[in-house]
Amino acid sequence: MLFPRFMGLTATSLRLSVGAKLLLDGVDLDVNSGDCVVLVGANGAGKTTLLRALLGLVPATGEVRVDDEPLRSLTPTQRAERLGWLPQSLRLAEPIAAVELVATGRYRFGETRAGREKAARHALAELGVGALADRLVDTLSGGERQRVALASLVAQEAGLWLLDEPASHLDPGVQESVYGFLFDQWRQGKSLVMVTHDADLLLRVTSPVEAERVRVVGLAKGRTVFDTRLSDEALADQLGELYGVTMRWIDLGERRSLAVVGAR
Amino acid sequence: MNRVALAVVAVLVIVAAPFVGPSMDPDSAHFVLTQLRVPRVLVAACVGAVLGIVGAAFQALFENPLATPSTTGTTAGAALGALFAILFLPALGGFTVMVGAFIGALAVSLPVAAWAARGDARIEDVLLGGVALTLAAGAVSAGLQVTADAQEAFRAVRWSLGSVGQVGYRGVAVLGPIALAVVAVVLAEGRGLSVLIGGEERAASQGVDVRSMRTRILVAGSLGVAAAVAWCGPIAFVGLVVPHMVRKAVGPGRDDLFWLSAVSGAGFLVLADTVARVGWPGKELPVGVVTAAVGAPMLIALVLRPRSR
Repeated sequence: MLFPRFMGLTATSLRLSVGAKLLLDGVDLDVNSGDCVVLVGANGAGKTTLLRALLGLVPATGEVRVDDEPLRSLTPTQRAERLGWLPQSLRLAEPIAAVELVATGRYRFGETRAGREKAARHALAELGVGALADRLVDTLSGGERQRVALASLVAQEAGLWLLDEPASHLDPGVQESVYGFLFDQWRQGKSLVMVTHDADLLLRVTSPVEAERVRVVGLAKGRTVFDTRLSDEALADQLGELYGVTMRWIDLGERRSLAVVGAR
Repeated sequence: MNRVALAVVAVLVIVAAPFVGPSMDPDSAHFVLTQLRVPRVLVAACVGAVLGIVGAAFQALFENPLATPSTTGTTAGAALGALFAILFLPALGGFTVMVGAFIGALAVSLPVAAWAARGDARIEDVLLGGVALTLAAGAVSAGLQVTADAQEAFRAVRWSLGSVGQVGYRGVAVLGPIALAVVAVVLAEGRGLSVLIGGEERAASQGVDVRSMRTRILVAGSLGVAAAVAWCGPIAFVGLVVPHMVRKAVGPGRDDLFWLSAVSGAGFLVLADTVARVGWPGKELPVGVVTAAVGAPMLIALVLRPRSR
């Protein structure tokens, strides 16, 4: 599959406070084409806020540039062409069929109704849920809903995906298949920024060679505290400190695992 | 029901409505039909279309199934303006009531729209602001009514129940173009309103210019409802009930919701006005009483209906 061009995103000293609370305290982040950047951090560290700032959904100061243009100068359609967002949860105002929800991802193309429905069905099929196209979204299971939400993202055909805990509330089997799908997209050239807590899940869906290419960026109190690789020895300590636990690398033979072994 | 069938039923109601009524001698029949009933049906169709489509658009915009023009203060502002005209400018006749209502509607709803257009306004705050202004306008209206004499107060109450009977072709000439413009603006924003199903931020990330869409819908909707209320009084429940009726008839989804709400709103108000006209021989009910009598139980049924899963 050919992805639209995405050259890179640069965020410089992003700062956002709501009342007295500082949510982002001068975050810098570079995402290059073909990158997979994993944002980790304790609850409230600013991960979700950072994604929203990258999308221009919150009034953060500092600058976000996409493809070397300021985000502010892009029209909503141009933004949607470059950046696609998977929010943590999907909240629907009223019942709607899966295919119509996925078709919302086609907004930026200005197609006819038949055109966007065709693209939506295609995206649902790509996620393996083509048979659910005409079901109401709120009658689906959590895993099915998440696949429908991902299909909507696929339908949008944006260059960089910003994913907020794409599988956190799902069972382990669905988690693996969701991450499996995302990393397949990455292997084909899609650029990803994702928020997750589960580093070991990432190690399960990537090869050791791929793990060297996956960037892990730690956030604490609205600041970037490390920017390393998923294969890095130091990651166990860095994650442990971030979450206030003790983590250790465990050799499973064919791969390594990163496990919490106790309190810090 | 099929969406085409729903539209056909609504159009048939509108076409048949002028011919419903007690039989008359041929001389007066022609006059009654062309000079009284046809303009009355046309006005009801225009107002119903505006209230129906604006109701559907506001429900989508505010992400709230109970949102209507009443929620943004439009109706309460119009009522206050009309009351003001009835009480303080009685010498100028019926036309001042319309102008007063129109100015009142805009005076309340345009600040709400302007606020909604600000970048950092959250839509739920806008909704609450509209409710607050509605309550404030209602309180001032109640205060004015107590100070009025009995005859003025009765006129004000009569107006506040809504009527499409006394408007005539002059009303059609004004309301027709306004209704067409409002329907055109909402239909042009229909795709964006459909994308709002997953919330404003998600829609923004999908390429919708949420702020400008919000402004256009609120301004067009407020103007349309202000005109409708100014000429016919605040007719309750149409904007609330019609979109729900459409969903119940053709199923969920927004692809056809807006145009069907316009057509069904027109049919619904024409039907309600016909019932108001002939339902109680010798008397004429205010159409707002009929729409409320149909709308309130329907709304309760909608709220109590178990969700189909």
